[in-house]
Amino acid sequence: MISRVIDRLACMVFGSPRFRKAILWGIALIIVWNGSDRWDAPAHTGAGLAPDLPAAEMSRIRRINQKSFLSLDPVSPKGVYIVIDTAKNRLYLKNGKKIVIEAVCSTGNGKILFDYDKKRQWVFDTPRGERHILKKVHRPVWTKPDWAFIEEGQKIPTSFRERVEEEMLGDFALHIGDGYMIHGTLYSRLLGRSVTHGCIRLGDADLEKVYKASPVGTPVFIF
Amino acid sequence: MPLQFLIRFGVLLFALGCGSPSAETSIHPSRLQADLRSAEVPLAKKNSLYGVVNLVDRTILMKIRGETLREIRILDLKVHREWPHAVSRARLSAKALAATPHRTVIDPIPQSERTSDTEAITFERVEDSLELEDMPVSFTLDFSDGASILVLPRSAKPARFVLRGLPEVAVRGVFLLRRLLSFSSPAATIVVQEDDARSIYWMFAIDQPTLIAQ
Repeated sequence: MISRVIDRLACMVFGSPRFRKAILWGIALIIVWNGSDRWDAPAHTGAGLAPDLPAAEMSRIRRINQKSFLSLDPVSPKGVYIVIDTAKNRLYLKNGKKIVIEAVCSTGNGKILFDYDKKRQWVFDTPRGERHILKKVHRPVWTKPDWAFIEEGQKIPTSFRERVEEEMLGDFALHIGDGYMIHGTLYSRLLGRSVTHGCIRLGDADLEKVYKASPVGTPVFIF
Repeated sequence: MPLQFLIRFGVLLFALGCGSPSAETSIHPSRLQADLRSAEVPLAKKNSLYGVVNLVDRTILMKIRGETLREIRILDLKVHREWPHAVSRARLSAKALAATPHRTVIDPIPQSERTSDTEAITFERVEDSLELEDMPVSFTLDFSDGASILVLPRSAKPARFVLRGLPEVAVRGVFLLRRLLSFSSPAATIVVQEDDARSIYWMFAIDQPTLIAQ
């Protein structure tokens, strides 16, 4: 029954009955070919196994490498910098190639919030790319933005005092621009999960270490 | 009729050719590395992320300012159509053949549910977060130059159910059909660890510049 249906369909699509078998075999072959485990030969294992190049070509390659190195060196990070892996919720404090601190953090939850009244929208992602530590604050105070009130179903206050909330950000905060911070958390059991509104949360001990080791201007790379 | 037959036979032969692995690239590894490094310079001068898919070294790198932030090993590789140059630069135009992970739209906490301790509600709401586990494992990375890379997972555990493997078979089938339709575009299939496949989906953003070395 099934073979008849396939036969009919093949006839309709490919026309000539003489040709349909060949086409069906062809499709089967493609599937087998494509699905087989015959993959490409192993990758190059280094220049050592490759044939030698002429001296002129080697010196040309050396020149290109040197030029690239001279161009890349000034832009590559020097000294201490912070790397944040939003996929794994990990923060690394690095000095050159060496990892000085590896910490579990929490990053953006990826949710969307609408303010239907003022037709605004927030996407709670941690921003990716390069940022810098712009300001360091000991015992920071959180000035709640509009979204925090909308999310909690509250009215947006008109006075500044109503926005201020203490002890929410832990003992330290490192501002990285546009309202985003690296700060502490009251919910340490949620570290390692994507739960924030875009900020990067750290445990108390790790936060203190990062705060002390990172001066203002430290690059922060988020991916 | 014979002409029609010949045309159809030609199509069949061509289709068969689409599945064949390519010959290895003839460029010397040192030369390739030098070309790759020099292609990286303009990207490293900007303050944004860029990817490097090195099909020769079998690595996928996420970089910024010339610094590698994450390295993913390619476990298996099949190049279906070669890239025109040893090092190509393109922008990621789409992550296709997989459902886009769902983002939750927040419902404000109603007055009745609000308590002095909001931790319970916060904890409940964690489950709606967009996390690495929500990312697909079989998908394609489509680039602005028409090239596409099919990413497939190699699961650490064997599939318990036949149905579990079906989405991957479907993705492979659609990818094959797409290759038939855009026969001149470079294409490759890579196999990575399941978690790495999710990370690739997470890390590679639309419009992100990417270097592909082959």
